[in-house]
This record gives sequence, structure tokens and C-alpha cells, in this order.
Amino acid sequence: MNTITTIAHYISSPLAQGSQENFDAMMQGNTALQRHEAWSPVQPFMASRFAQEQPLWQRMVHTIQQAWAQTHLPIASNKVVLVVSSTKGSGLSEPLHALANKVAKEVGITTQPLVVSNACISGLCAIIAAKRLLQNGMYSHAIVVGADELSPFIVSGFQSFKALSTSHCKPFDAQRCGLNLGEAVAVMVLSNLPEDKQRSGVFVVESGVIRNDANHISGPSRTGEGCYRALQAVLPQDSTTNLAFVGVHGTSTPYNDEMESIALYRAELLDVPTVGFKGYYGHTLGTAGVLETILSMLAIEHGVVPATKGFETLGVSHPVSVSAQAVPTQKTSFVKLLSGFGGCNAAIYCSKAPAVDKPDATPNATYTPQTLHHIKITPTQVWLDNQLVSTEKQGKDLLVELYKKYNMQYPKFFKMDTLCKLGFVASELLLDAEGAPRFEPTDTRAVVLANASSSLCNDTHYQATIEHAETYFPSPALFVYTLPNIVTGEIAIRNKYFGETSFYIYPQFTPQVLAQLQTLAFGDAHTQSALVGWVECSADDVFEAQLYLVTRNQSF
Amino acid sequence: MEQLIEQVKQQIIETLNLEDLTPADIDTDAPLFDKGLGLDSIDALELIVLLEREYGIKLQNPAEGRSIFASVRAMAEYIENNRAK
Repeated sequence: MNTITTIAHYISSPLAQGSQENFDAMMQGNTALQRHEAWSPVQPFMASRFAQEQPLWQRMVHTIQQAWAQTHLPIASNKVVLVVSSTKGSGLSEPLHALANKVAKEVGITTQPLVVSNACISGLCAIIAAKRLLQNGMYSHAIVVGADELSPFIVSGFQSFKALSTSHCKPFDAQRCGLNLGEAVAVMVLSNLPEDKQRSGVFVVESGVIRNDANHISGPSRTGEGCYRALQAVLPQDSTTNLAFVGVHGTSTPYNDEMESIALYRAELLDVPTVGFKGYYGHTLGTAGVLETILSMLAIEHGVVPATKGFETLGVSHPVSVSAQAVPTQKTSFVKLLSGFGGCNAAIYCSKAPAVDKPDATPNATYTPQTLHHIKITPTQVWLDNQLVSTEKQGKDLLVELYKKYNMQYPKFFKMDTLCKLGFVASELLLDAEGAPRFEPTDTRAVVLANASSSLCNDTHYQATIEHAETYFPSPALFVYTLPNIVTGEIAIRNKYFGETSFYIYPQFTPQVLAQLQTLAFGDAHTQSALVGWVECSADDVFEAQLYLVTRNQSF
Repeated sequence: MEQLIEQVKQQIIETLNLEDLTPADIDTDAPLFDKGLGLDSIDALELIVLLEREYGIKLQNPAEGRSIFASVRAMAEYIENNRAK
């Protein structure tokens, strides 16, 4: 199997420009977290924000150019791909795929970008997706950019969830009472070329997985289920001998940090130093996975386990070894964890590249995915395995008709936004067609979906609850659906799927998109079957689903 | 009070999208969470918004909700004693 290495990176943050500059600022204990009051009726909030206003795409272009310049390679190549990680991009007015295309064009990338929008774990998902594309061999280099910016939309939503602390966040601390949000753009360049392993400061992305809690769309699992399963899946047998630290999500909300402590306990990692970065940068959303992975690599480079800023007294139920102070380390591997809405969890395991190169022993697994069943739902018609299903209603009423006709008996259906209702009924009909026993827990089935409009339909509904100062009542029940990946979480919860759940954004659905989704889904060797496809919803009565139930037909 | 209880039941059904339920289906004294209506943490947050939007009651600490949302009667009593509109 091709070794995937990181060969360059760059961080633009309110703290500093440059990866090393950011690392130095962090090691000095600096933070740009401060109180902001300018967005009334949004309540005052603590956040790390850029001092200078600048469009997000320009920050992305600048950061990509700074990272890519280190490679001394031509960027205009059909072997170079851009992978964008973002939750909301530059807001409702510009689709994420358009933002990605604009940035790609501006920096001279000639291939079609991939956009990952998987809530707060997006950054790690983008690294994992890049690794899978590179292992597949269709590209030699992937530029992973994590980018998000704060807006009244995002801040009001987190406030409606009572998730924000009005003071500095305190990851894993007994006094923690919520998270701080932050802005940053971070870029990593990944390569599958053997000659790139000779560069300085190179790390190997050894493994990366995504697992779902199959429990709740916003509340962390009480058993740390997905986080634990992700940890177990990425760590090699003898991992702890060379594991310098675990970089936790550590948002500083009571439930997240407690959940992670349970996962670390179950994974027998309580003795491994544990580091949280949110006290320096806040939670940088789609950037977090990229930013915190770069900081982790630099920590290993400098032989240090960084301090967890804000942490003083342990306040979780298991004795996690949270690093209160920076301590030296000789070890050269780390784990980075993230968890997010939709019940998703991601983990990657990285190691400093050895001075003497090891040959790659494992062969690439080849497979020919086989489609078992296919469903297409439009506002007027339903086709299951190319047979027209008899229906009467249209638009969103058609989805309710299907729910009742197939006797789905799942009252939560009526709380879902239209995108989730669409994905839910499509998956129910597909699984009904499969005919296998339902609701048996499994982690070998993935749910990997995509669309063009992200969560636009529900975003406009949420926006209406914050639009006017006199009727400013941000709705948590709407805010939770302002992420496109929630539909994958709803399907996972319904079916007890603990496997991977991922969501991507493309301009349109094509055979190439379907093929790439399958490549990404089966890039996790543990995944034996997957629900893959398209769930697009731009307005409550304007939607299209094309879902495929696919199995891996593995051969070596 | 009985009128307020009916009104709160209707608002809960509408706000939380409790399909196929009518106010008569909700037991005034039964717990809203855990069992009963099977509400979850997002519903609790949404009920806090309901208190503010409909009755001008601002709840800063979500933990207070536990006793306020013990039942429809508890909720109506809290509204009666604290409403600003």
C-alpha cells in the first residue's frame, strides 16, 4: 500500500501567519480568544477572530499558496487535487462547491476539487479522503484546506444550544462550561510519491477512520461509542510504545470532554498524555482537524507534548492524563480525534517518517463494487430498482406519504428537515428491498452521501429565526439541521450503523461522482457495504435522491 | 390555569412537531422527558426558546429546565409565576 506523507503545511490564524509561527505562539501560551459584542442581537461571545476583514476565499488562496510554495512543484497538473473542509464556507449565498472551484481556479489547480462537509470532524475527514484518493493512485498530491469563518448564523446557533462559554474555555477541567469558537485557515499537502518521503519534516498518515455513535444527532454518546471505535480502529497493536500523545477534540463542553474520557478509558489510553488545543484557538470548526494535526506534527518535531491551555483540575470521570504543562517526549507518533454533530467521530494516527525508509508491504486491496439496489426519488416520482412505485402526493407531502405507506413508525421523522426526511425514506425503501434483518448493530456498513446545496433549504428556515432583532429567537431544533451530514447520522441512528458516515459536496451528480463516493467509502478496509449516493434538497418541494446499496466485491 | 395548560400543550405539539398528537393525548401531570412524550435534549432547548418567545421568560441556565419541564402542569405554573408577556 502506498505510504501517504505530509510534505508541507501552513496556518493562517489570528495568532500568527505560518505553521512554525503559530506553534511558537502556542508554546508561549498565547491566545487570540477575546470577548466580541458587535453582532447584537447575538449575545456577546468569546472567540478567536481575525482582526482584518477579508473574504474567506482570499484567505484560502493565500494559505494554499504559502503551503504549496514549499513543495517547489507545479500546481497545474492533473495529478494535483484540492480537498476542501468546511462546515458553512462563506455563508448561504455561495455554495461550497462554488467556493472550492473559485479557490482552485485562483491558485491554478486544474482538477475538480472535492469538498468535505461533515460537521466538526470535517478537517480530519478531508485528510482521510485525501489519503484514500492518493492511495487509489488517481492523484499524486492532495492539497487539504480547512476553512470556516464565524458569522451571526453560526454564533447564534451555538448560543441556542447553550454550548458557548462566556469566558475562556477550559478543556477537561472541572470548571469547564462550554466552548469558544475560532477562525483559522490551515493547509496540508499530502503526497503518495516515494521521493517525497526524503523531504524534511515529513509525517506518515498511517491510518484514519470515521465511526458513528448511532445514538443522537447532537448529544455525545454516553458510552463514547463512535470515538472509542475510531480509536480502536486507527491504533496498531503496539501503538502505545511510540504514542507521544492523543490530541483530543476537547471542546470544553461538559458532555464532549466526558464522552472522550470514556472513550480513552475504553481504549486503555488513560496513561497516554492527552492534549487539547481549543484553549489557544477556540473551536475552528472545519479547520480544526487540519490546524490541530499540523500543531501536533510540529510538537513531535520539537520533541514536546504541548500544554492544554485552560486546564487546571481534572473534571471528567476517568483519570485522563491531560497535559497541564508542556513536557518533553522522545516518541514520534500521535493520534488526533474529533467528534461532531450527526454523531460522527474521526481519528487519525500519524508518525514522523523514519530516517531509513521502510518498503511498503501491504498490497492495495482492489474491489469491484456491486450495486444491490437503487432508488430514485423526485418531487413527483419514486423509482425502486427501476420500477415506478405507485404514489399520489407531490413535494414534501410525497415523503410523508412514503413514510406512512411503508409504515416506518419513527416519530422522529416529523422533527427532521426535508433533506433528512428525503434521505431517511430513501434509505428505508432501499433497506426494505434488501430484505435483510433490520436494526442489527454493525460497523461494517458506511453511509456516504453527497449533494450540491448542502443544508441550504433548512439554513434559510434557521436564518428566518435570527433575521430580525424584534423576532430574534434562534431555534436549536432548526440549527442542528444546518449541517448536511445530519442525514447520514439519522440513517445511522435508525439502523444502528456504527460504521463510517460522511458527506461531500459536488456541483452535480454524475457517474464520476458516484464512482468517487464508492472509492471513498471502500477506502476504509473495514467497510463491507455502503449506502452511497445523492440527497439534494434546495427547497422544501425541490429535491432529488439517488441512493445505491453497494457491496465490496473484494479481490487481491 | 386550565386554559393555560391547554395552550401550553398546543404550543408543545406545534413547536416540537409531535405529529398525530392532540392536547388530549398529553397527560397534564406526566413527565415530559425520559418517558411520556419521549422528548430529548434538543426538545428541551426548544422549550426554553418557547418560554422566551411566547412568554418573555429568559432562562440562562438550561439545568433549571429540569424542574420547569417536569410536566405540563409544572411548566404552566412556572409560566404563570414568571411570565413577562
